[in-house]
Amino acid sequence: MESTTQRSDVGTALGSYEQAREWIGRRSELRLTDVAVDESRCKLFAALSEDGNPAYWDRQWATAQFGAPLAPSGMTMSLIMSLPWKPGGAPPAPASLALDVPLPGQTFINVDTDCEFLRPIHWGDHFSVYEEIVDISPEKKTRLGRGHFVTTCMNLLDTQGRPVARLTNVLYRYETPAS
Amino acid sequence: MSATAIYPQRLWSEVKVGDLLPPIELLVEYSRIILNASSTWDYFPGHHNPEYARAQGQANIYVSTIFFHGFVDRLITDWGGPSSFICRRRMRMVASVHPGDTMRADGHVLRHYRDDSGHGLVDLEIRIDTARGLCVPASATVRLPLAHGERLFSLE
Repeated sequence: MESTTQRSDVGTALGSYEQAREWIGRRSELRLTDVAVDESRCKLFAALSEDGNPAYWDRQWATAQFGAPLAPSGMTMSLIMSLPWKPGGAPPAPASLALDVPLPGQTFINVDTDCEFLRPIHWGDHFSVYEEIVDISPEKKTRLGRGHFVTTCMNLLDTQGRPVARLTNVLYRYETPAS
Repeated sequence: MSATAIYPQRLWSEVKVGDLLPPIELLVEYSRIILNASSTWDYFPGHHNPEYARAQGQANIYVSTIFFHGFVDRLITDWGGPSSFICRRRMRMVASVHPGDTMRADGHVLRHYRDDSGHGLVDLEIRIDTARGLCVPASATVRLPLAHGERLFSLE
């Protein structure tokens, strides 16, 4: 069924609002993220904001304080991103289940996030993630175009199955005036 | 630095409602937006392809949500210190940030309290602006140590 779904050039599934409503409450499979948290990703992310927090940079100090250096909490949402290519040709997992919801909107923009952190994330941690469609709005009109707000909730679990973070996200799936 | 390094850390008892977080600023060049994509693995074309971004109704490519997360968290931990723990952060993206913009984040303490477990918490109200005005209103709940040397989480 999924293979027949029409998709936009950025991978969003296309369909009607009536089809989309059937997705409310749907939950993705539990998925192990592609790689564990590592030093280079954490430092590159900290460099983006010029964040000199020693929890991310001073290995000795951070190990004494936290047991291991930490990942910036701000990068949590990036930890669920998939590699753009892997051997075997399997397509990367979508960044969000919201992109798999059949809707008229080809493109999207993120509009709202609510992130709850239950424990620190260390270098070397590896997560599994699942996501649920919480809500899909009726059609709205914004300055960007007509579309639907899709609310999802993503849960990150560590290798022992303990919840680490819960990310509630609202993404606007819309049609541009030109489309 | 070493395990004996001492970094400034704010204690919960040192905070009061109305305290200001020192603002931070960052110039967003094209190269930083490309770093945004590479460091977050978020390769959505609105973040690196001007033609696609304009077709979306944007003025140009724009920084991602995850960049805003990192920028706000830096504001918080620059103020609180490296042992601060961000328990919760909420934000809305009401306007985009494009190449050539300077992002500025500031905030203040809205609430100072203990939870049922006795943890020392503060609620912060935060905003990110560019020269065009407000881009991201945000809020956060942060846990701070009650005493120097306190570990907020046990070593595992």
